[in-house]
Amino acid sequence: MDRTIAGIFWILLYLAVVTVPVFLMLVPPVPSGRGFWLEFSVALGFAGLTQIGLQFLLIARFKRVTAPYGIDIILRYHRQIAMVAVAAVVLHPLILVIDNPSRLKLLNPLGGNWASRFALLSLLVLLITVAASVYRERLRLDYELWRLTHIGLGVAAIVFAQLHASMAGLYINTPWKQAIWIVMAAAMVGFIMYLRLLKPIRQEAYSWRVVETRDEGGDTTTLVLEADGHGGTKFQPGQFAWIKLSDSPFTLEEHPFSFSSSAETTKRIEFGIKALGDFSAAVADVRPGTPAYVDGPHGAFSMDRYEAAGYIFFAGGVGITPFMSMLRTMADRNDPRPVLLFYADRSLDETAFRKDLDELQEKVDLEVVYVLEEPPEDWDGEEGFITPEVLDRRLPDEGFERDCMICGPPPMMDAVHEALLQRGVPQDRIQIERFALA
Amino acid sequence: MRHILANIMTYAVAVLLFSGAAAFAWMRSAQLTIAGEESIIARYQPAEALTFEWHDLGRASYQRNCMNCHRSDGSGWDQYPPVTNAAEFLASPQGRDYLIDLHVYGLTSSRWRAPMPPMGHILDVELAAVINWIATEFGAAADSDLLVPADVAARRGLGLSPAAVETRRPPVGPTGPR
Repeated sequence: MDRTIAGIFWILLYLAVVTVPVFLMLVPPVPSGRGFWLEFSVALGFAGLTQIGLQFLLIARFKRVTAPYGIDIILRYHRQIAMVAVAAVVLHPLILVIDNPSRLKLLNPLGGNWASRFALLSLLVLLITVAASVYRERLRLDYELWRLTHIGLGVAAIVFAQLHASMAGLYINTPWKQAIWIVMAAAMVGFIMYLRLLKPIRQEAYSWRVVETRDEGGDTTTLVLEADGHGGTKFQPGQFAWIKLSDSPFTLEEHPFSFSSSAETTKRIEFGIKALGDFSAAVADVRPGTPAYVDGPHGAFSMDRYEAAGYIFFAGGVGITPFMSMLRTMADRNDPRPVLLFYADRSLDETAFRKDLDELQEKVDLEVVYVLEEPPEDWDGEEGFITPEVLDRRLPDEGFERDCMICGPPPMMDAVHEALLQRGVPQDRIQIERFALA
Repeated sequence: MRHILANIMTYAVAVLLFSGAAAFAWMRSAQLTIAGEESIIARYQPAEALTFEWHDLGRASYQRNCMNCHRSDGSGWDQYPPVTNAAEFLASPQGRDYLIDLHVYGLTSSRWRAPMPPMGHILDVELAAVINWIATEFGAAADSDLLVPADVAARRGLGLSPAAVETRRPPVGPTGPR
């Protein structure tokens, strides 16, 4: 309930911040009203500027703000609403020119004035930012390079946009209005400073140290960290953290991984990492003693958040890691609730944590159903994917008092989600981890 | 479940932003102007044409609509021209028409790179008042040269383009308008 109240509170505060500029625009002295399309265009410009400013708040990883929703939701919202903001910003000059074609000359960098030049710069930077983000993988942009330019371009976009509004805005027509807008824009840019400068300074006092790396099979490595003279971190099983493996916490090389260890141990934490990219592939070779910095816990994919009489877990590949944490936590807590785990992967050799799962079956009421795409010849378990037929064969016949949790590749999650809904599982009994944080 | 709610939230905020912008524009374009029209006409209509109280209205209108580009002292900046020569235009019939036209229809010219936006949505009284105020505050316009609302009303409905206004600019003399 507290979470619901907090969630509603932050949404209301957000909506208030979104609408503040409108009220500010209507505080006298207000310019004379003009035609509808001109005013609409101006309103879109201000709405876009405010939204772009708020993007910095969304990505600053404030735990208290993000916890009610899960930070994955916030970051996805960031990607979605940024598109809406850019659409508003693009429409702003478009409507102006259609409304009065003599304004076309403002679009010529040499023909306009400084206000229009900063507007053009801001728009250009925004479009580059969007293109680089949407097509990052197709352009083969290095992730750290993208992150650095994304920050730089974002700051440039809002600085140019604010300069444009300050110079051109009939609505920013007094020194105090000017001051409010500039302070607001600066505060938004300050959030990125918080994430990339202040947070690392705090992380320096809460450093971790790599004590061990363990091969779990299937190209998956467990990274074991120990707290360096502090109390560690409390988390819920299934949550994740951003990890830096570097001498300095100011590095931009930072990746999110799910905790895979028991939440009952806070000073020694583990992460299951599958070799999928440069960073994750290098984890297997990290030497013990390497300093590490942990930004977490984040995320809302945890059994502790969804109380139920029992659970059905659906893991696809490395999606097993949050469930490892949940199962190990259940073992430590002597949790008697039944768990059915569907674990889909290519082949038996690529299936990580098999030994650990065998051991956990002795401590937890756990049944594991492996679903293998390429099973060995003597395999008598499930084959292929987690299809509706597999579910019909294996799902317990108990009227779904259990909570279903799904973590894996998006097509697998969508298919399982759809199949569960068809089998009468209520929507709020299905939790999905969409771990696309980039 | 969270993801579905989050998607609804995104759509809701997007709709809120765009419909809010439209509502704002509707209010600013129709509602406020109409409300302003009634109150302004009520205030000025009974006045004698030549003695209408333009000073306070002109100053307030200048602060609202002109000051951002033309500056508080009328000196202009960057690509926005100074407005300190308005009195010289008021002295000739062609200059008066040009001065009113550029407010009603806007102006584009090669002399200044920023176009003057059309201000025709502003009422006759307010346009006459602000031009009078500029011409006396930043210049020394003769009382007999000052505009009355009917002068502005007479220039409406001509359908001029901002470029056409430029072609009607009176010739430039050594002491005449720049």
